[in-house]
Amino acid sequence: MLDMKYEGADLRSKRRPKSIIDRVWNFFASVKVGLWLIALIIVGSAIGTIFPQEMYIPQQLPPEQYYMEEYGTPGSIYYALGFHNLYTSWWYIGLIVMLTLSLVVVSIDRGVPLYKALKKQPVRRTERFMKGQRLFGQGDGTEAQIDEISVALKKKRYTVKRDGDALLAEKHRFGRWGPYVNHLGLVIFFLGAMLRVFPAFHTDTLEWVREGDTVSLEATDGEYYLRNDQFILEMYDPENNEEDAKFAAAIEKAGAVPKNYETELTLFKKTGTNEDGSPQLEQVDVGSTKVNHPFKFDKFEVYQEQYSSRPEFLSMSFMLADKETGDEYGPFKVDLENPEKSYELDGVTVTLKDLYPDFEVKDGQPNTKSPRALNPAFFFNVESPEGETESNLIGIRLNVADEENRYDVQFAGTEMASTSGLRVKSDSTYPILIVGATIFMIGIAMGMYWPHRRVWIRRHEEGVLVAGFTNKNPSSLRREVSPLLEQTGLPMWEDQARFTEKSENESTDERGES
Amino acid sequence: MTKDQQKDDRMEQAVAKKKKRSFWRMMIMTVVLFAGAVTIMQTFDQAGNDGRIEAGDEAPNFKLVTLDGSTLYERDNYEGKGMLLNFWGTFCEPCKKEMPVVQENYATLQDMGVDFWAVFVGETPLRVDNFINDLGVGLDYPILMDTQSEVEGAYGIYNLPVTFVIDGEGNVIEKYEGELTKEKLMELAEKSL
Repeated sequence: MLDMKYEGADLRSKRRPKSIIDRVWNFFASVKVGLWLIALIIVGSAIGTIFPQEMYIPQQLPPEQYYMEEYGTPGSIYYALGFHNLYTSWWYIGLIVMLTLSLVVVSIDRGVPLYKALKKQPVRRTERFMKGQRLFGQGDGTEAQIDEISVALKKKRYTVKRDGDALLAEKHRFGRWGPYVNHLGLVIFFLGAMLRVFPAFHTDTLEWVREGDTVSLEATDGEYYLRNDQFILEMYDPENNEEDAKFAAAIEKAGAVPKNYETELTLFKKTGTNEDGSPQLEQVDVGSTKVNHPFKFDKFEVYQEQYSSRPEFLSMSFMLADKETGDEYGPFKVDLENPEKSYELDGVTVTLKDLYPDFEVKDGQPNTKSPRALNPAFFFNVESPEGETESNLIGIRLNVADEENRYDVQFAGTEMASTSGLRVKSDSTYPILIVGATIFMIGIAMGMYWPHRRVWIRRHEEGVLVAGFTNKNPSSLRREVSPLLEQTGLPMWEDQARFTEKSENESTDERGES
Repeated sequence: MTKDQQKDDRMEQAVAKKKKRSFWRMMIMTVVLFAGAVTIMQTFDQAGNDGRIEAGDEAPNFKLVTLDGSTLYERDNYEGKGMLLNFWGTFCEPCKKEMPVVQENYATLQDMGVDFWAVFVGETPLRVDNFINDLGVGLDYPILMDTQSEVEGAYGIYNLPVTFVIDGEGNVIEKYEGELTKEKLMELAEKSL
């Protein structure tokens, strides 16, 4: 039988290569190479799921250290080869580029000759060609019978062409373009995926913003600033909220269940720079971001993603009580970021001698674990109007003072701030990806559901030759056309592939008639 | 027209067609591979642009005041041969241990033309002042205040202590994370020259 894959057309890549351009072309025109590329991409993607991607690991450690400490040697190999940022690693993109080139080259190499061959196909084919088709039959017949079946085939929506006593009926030729349309979709999709590497098309950063703070948004290249006005964490409250009461049983079982994570925001645009280098900001918008309800501006979206479970202290206030007279002094407020050193309270002077933002006792000495004001402790000297000095170490659930001290330092209030983790994203490649994916699906549907069917009939010597071709599902072509052959009394065809094994030595060079 | 001439004509046409085809093949492959190369270059660009200063980067400029508030230091105004830029905190145990070592060798460093700047990150001057007094060693090298953690952010600091080796042109030669011993300190100072 003839190999009808590309209409027996002369594939450029199957010719003997001559120049370097031809050699490279032929490499990418090889289906084998394309399949290898796909296999490598799949294996690479699979390995990329073994350990988490960089965007999902904790941010306290640099990634190389994290992968090493968490996963050992395999982790550091994983990191070194760029698996931690799979979709933007150079070799992954390299494979995608090669696959894209392979798809382009293979489509041109095969699609163009196929298109030309089908466009210029003759109605009258040789005996050898017709005998080479899967469905073939010969026997007695007249031109009148061919005229008759021509009408019948037209009724079945075949396009019928005549050349004297020869007939060609054809249907769904466009189904042959399915793979090429599909390739086009893939190429557009990959193009979109490649554009995601460029910040103009795709950005994705996590910004930690403490309540009251204003940060420059890296994703906008410093054009926009966001202020965290308030972070809200609401819990389901079956006792005080009627709506929530219906979940009372479930909440009892689960403990506290968060209902809402939300950050109220103010958006600023940078309009210039002050002399000291600080930005001049103009308020643009006020809004909030909740889980699944991003705050949108320009082409960006701000998602509520994380929050710090331990709020930081901004300031603490204290009262001073005179144990002898019962007099109270204060309150006075200590700003934790920029503390005053001394506080005058009606003749009594309080001096801040030391401040531990994250208090611990280490080797018997007061110390701080970190620079974050998570558990502040204060070392105060209190000087009475008479000039006597006492000392106090005061912190949360901590009050170290001499029993005989005249003054007692007491907490009078705190100001705290939560920190919200906001993900700022933009992605202009979605439309490209959607268009690519849609074209891809159209291509698949074309190739799957519209098989190309052709019927050739011609008089040969004293009888008639009948041949049929389809690229999919030959039995349905038989079901469609065999009754017509029978009605008109033309010779019945047989499926030649049905009982004969495809012979091993069938050369791929056999190209039918040229 | 003779038969030979016709044959020549056809040959010429075939050659022209082939040239045209080669040209288009070349164009298509060049366009795709060029686009790919630009994309890959961009990924490299971004990998090096994660906000952390590493060897090979230029040292970002900053202006910081010393702990006692007396002197302003600006990175780009530095005129010595090399610089060791150190980041530390009072909560960091190795930082505490390396400070006397640096003090001991500071005079030698200065003779070499290398200065040592120590920036403390995100802490109050009060705490740092107490910490240095408790250390029991007078420090001659500049202790710079980065109370707002701005310089820490610009250099992308994760671990303390960390020491950047910076040459006379302001390029980072090496980033060393960990406690400085005398040997390490001298080794880094040599590298900065």
